[in-house]
Amino acid sequence: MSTTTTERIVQTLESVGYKRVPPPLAIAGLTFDFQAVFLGDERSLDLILVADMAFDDQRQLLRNVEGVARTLDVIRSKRPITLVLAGPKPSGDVLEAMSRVCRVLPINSAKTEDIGSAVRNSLAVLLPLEIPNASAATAEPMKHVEERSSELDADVREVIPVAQHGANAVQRALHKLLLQQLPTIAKENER
Amino acid sequence: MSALLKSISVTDFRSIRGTLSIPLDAPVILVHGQNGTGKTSLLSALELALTGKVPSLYRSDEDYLDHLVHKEAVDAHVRVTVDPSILARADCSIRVHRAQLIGDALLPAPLSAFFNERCYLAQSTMNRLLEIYEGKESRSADSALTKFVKDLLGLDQLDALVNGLFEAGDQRRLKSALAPYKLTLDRLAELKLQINRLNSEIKIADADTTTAEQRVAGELTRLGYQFNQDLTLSGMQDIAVDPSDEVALQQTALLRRNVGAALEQWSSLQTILTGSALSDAEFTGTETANLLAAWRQKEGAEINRVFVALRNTFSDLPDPELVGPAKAMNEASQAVVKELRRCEDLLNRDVNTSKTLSDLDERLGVTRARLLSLEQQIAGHFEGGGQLAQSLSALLPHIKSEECPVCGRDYSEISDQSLQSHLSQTIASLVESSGRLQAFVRERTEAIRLQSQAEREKAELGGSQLDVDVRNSLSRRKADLDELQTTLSNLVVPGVEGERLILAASNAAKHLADVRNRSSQAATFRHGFSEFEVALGLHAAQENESTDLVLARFKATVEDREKYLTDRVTARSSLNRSLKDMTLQKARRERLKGELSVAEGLRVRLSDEISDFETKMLQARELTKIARLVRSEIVRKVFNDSLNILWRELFIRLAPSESFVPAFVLPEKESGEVEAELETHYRSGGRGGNPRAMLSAGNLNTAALTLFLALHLSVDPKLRCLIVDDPVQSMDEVHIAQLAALLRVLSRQHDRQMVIAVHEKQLFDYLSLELFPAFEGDRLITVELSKNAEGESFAQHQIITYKRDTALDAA
Repeated sequence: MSTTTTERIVQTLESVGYKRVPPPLAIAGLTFDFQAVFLGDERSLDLILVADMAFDDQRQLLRNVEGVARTLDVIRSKRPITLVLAGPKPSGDVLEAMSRVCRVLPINSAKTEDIGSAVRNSLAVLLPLEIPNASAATAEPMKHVEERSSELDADVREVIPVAQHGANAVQRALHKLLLQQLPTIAKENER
Repeated sequence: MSALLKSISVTDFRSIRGTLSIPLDAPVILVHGQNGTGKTSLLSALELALTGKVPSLYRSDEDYLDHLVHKEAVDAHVRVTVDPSILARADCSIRVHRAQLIGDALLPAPLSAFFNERCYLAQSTMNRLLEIYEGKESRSADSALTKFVKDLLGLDQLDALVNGLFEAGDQRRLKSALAPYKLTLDRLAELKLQINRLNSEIKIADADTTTAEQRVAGELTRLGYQFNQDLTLSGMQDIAVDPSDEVALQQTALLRRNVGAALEQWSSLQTILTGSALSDAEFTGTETANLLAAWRQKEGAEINRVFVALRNTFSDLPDPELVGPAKAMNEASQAVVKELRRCEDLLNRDVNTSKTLSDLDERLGVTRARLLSLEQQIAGHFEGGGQLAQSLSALLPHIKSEECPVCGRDYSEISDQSLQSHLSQTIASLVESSGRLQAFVRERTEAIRLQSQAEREKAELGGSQLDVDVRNSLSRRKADLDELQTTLSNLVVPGVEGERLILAASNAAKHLADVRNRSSQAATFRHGFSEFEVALGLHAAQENESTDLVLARFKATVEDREKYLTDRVTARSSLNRSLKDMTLQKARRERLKGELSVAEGLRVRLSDEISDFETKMLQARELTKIARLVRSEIVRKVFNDSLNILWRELFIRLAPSESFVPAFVLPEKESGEVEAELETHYRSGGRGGNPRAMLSAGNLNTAALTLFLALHLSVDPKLRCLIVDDPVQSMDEVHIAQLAALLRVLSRQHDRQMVIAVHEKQLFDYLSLELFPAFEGDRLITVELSKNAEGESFAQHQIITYKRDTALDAA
């Protein structure tokens, strides 16, 4: 299913629990027009504004964003504003001006990345951070060793479980195993 | 969730002068201050109180303890309180005095290390973080990354297996660790040498045996036997000790001696029996007998007469007929001389005795006359004179006058002399007379002794004086003996002649008997030849064959036979020796072969054991390889599936427009060591270069910060706190906004208490806004550090609590 960048942004934000605010955005009696507006969940004060540079004029958009920021300042709201920009990047001075009042996240849709990962990467700061479970990879490493060493002699494999008692124990087991192969000299030494 | 850190109080610590007391009881603490106001000092103080050390300072200055106290103060103090439900303790207080820490740090060792490495990111550390984790800093066994991996994965058992089997990887290591292995290898080398030596010795023994056998074969051939398989050793030994030749040789030797004796006898017979030996002997016998008879009639009779005469005097003289005239005469002469000397002695002694007696008579006469005279002299002296003189002397002192004390008369009437002098004269005369009397008496005694001695000698001599008849008889006898002596001396020459004649006659008679005897032997000599002929197996001697030729024939035959037998006896004894030698060589060869087989057996056994040993060693090596492979796979998996993903995720958050992302790449390595290289990847895939070459300074900083966070988030959060000192040095505004969002995620989604120090006011404000409490119980503490004109430190803090935001209620 082919979707626009904006739709993809909306889907992504909704999927991680941001609440979409029906347009237009009204703050202290003033209204502002954006492609989409999201609010953070109960643990976050985020206000996310989504704009599509294909539709929105960059100056108009700047004014809108500055308007939102100023209005929130006036009512002493502490909500941090994030502006997500789909489409071509605005010009440098506009982008800089926008950055002064909010976090700007342009979507680099024109790059080689597919649109999905471009959106994901650009919105990353807004998304929860998933920490891969490192210990999953290490589950029972000795079992791997056991499996791989099936072709070795049984007495050599008996050394594997000794590892739980430490390197010295392994060394002792190795010595014992090896010395068992030399009974003649051992017998001579006993004499 | 409850915050770990509750409060901190710092006095005179590093750049902080005076005391700062700051509450920390909030999920997020933002610290702001211009450079030099003590942000880093505050965070270092926190690290010191928690861990007892400040590794970030140590890295740049090993003597950092010397500089912990503010330069104008003597002591520094740090006091930190924490949530006692998380840690066992509620607070700790540390005093720093002259580079000495007084007081215990809050965290136990493992947590302390965790805090140092995973919770606290000092500014200085961040600058070098990539270097540190690239492992360029140290070549030691545990690089920072290895340590991280170990912390993260807990691959202790794999490590134990790999480390425990370390020795199996190298034979030299095993040799030094396991003495029996080295011993066995040494032993094998020795055995190889021994086997070589035994083989060459066996070769020598083989040759020696062959030589001995050849010698035996030679001896057997000499004895007329064939050396082959049918001959057993005992059979050969029987041949060697067969005594028949020896016996025959002894008999032959006896024969040879007999033949030799016969030859000798024959030759002696021949010398004696040459010419007119017998008639000569007979003539000599007759002549000597005649001469002897003539002598006997004349000189012999004379001698016998003399001896008859001599026997009257000397009854025990030998008979001249029996002992020989010379000897008998010699003895008779000696007897005569001896008797003659005796007679002369007796006569001489008697003459001496007569002379001594006449001398004695003369001496007696003189002595008697002297005695008579001495008697007369003695009679003329008053006998008691001496005694009287003594008595008169006793009177002397009593004479005081001329009156005699004896008779009372006056002496002056009769003499002019005084009485006293008269008496003295009388005494003197008496004493003199007495002395002479004694002398005479002694003389008389001596004369009497001499007289009696002379009389005794005279009596003795008178007894030994010869009787007249006897003396005459002796004189006659002496004259007779003188005559006899003369006669005898005249007969000495005829005596000696007689003696010679007797001997000559006797020798001639003996010789004649001998000659007669031998000539009878020669007559029967050839009778003994038949014995030799039988013994030697020769034909009988012909009558016309001379005795010399027969005997020569016997001699040659017996010598040939003896030589032949001697040869055989020698051959047998030589065979005996050779057999012994052969047996010895064979035994030696067998012994060597036995030793060889023992050595070979041992070598095979030891080789098998070494082969088993090395099989196990190789398997242990294989096991090490497997363990390393598993470890390296796990590590790679962790890096690829976990650390790199997380790092990338964090990095992209902070630098969304950067087309490169940093990553660790694990080269495929057999050793399985964790050695990672830093790389960048294109976000769209494909490799870039090292981050230091590919990223801007700002994004390099971001890479370091995100690496720290990725490392922190990857491991089990033993302490849920993050302290970051001035994370943004040159981040542009985009990064600042992204960082703020990230910190919020860490705090709210991942429950990390965070202390963030920043020097940029803008960032501080921005972060304050972004981290503004968003729900009930959420809190933010902001701290402003500053210094007054005197250089004293001040801290203004604000505890911001949640207030519902109503701005968008309408929305």
